[in-house]
Amino acid sequence: MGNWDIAMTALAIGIGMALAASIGALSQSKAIWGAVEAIARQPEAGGRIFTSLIIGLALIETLVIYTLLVSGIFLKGNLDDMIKAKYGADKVKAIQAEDSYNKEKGGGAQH
Amino acid sequence: MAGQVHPPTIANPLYEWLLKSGYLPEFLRGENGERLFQLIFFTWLVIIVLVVVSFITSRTLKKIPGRLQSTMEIIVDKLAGLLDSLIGHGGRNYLGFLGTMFIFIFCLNLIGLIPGMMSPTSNWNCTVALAIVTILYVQASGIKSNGFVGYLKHMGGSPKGVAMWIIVPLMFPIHLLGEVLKPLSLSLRLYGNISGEDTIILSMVKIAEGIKVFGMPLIPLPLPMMGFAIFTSFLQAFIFTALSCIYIMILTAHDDGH
Repeated sequence: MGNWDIAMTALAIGIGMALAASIGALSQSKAIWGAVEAIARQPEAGGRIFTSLIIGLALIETLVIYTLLVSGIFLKGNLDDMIKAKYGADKVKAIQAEDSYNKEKGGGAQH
Repeated sequence: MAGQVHPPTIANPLYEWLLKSGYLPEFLRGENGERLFQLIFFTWLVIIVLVVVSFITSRTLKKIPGRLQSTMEIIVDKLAGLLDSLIGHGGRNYLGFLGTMFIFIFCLNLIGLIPGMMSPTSNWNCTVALAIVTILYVQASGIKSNGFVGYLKHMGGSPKGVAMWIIVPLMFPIHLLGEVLKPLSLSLRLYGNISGEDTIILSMVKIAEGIKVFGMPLIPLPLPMMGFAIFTSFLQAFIFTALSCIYIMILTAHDDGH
């Protein structure tokens, strides 16, 4: 089929990011629930519990950021290469030059 | 990396002038030369500003401090308290390096929000350098605290009986791999968060420029995201420092419990 590679790469980018963000948000909600309940039980330990909560949230967030980096940069780079190979690099440049952001900024530093 | 747009900054005219007059070093002439030059320029800018502020503060220390000295004392005091609570009783000895890393990374993250400037930490080169230096410092403080033999024993899983001595050849590569992966995760976390914030602000600008009145955009859509980016900058600097403290606490844990 013609556009199979391009279509599946684009699908992988979208679904991967959506799955990572939603499951990450669910896990963080469990962590916040535990922390808020612990603070409600013992308000004087609030500072220590808050610090542990922030560190735990950042560690969960790291995994979501890994997915963002892989899908947003690595897979998107593959997608761009496939599109350039299929349609030719000069036509892609012509389409990018019409983009209004690039027109205003004077043709940016698009790679 | 492919597909990222880098708007011009105030370092671009300087780069053009250096390129024309031929004073540019070899490694800055390639296709990424502009980005690397911006990185070096803004890192040096933050360093010079921080050094000048610290020098002015520490030159005239009074017993009843003025406003600048009070602000610096609050920052140093809170940082010392954080390090003491995370590392244990010897935490204040690491204040020189870890406190500086916190303030430095916080300022590096924040400078990208000023119009015409770029965060050096939104580039993976900068965060890898920061992470490698921090992890080397952590290993060095572990060696200094436990001795070299103690450090190797900790890498082998701190064996205590015959059974644990047998599986040392299994535990040693696992711990070594963990130590090597620590700079990777530290650097990717900082890079992903800060460059992700930049990407989101860029998307907000692209959305908001559709509605224009007299040639100016009507709804200032990136402003709430920039407010959130201040919080994210502080949080990521805090997480970097806190995780380094936890790594130091793990490595300098004394077996005899003092």
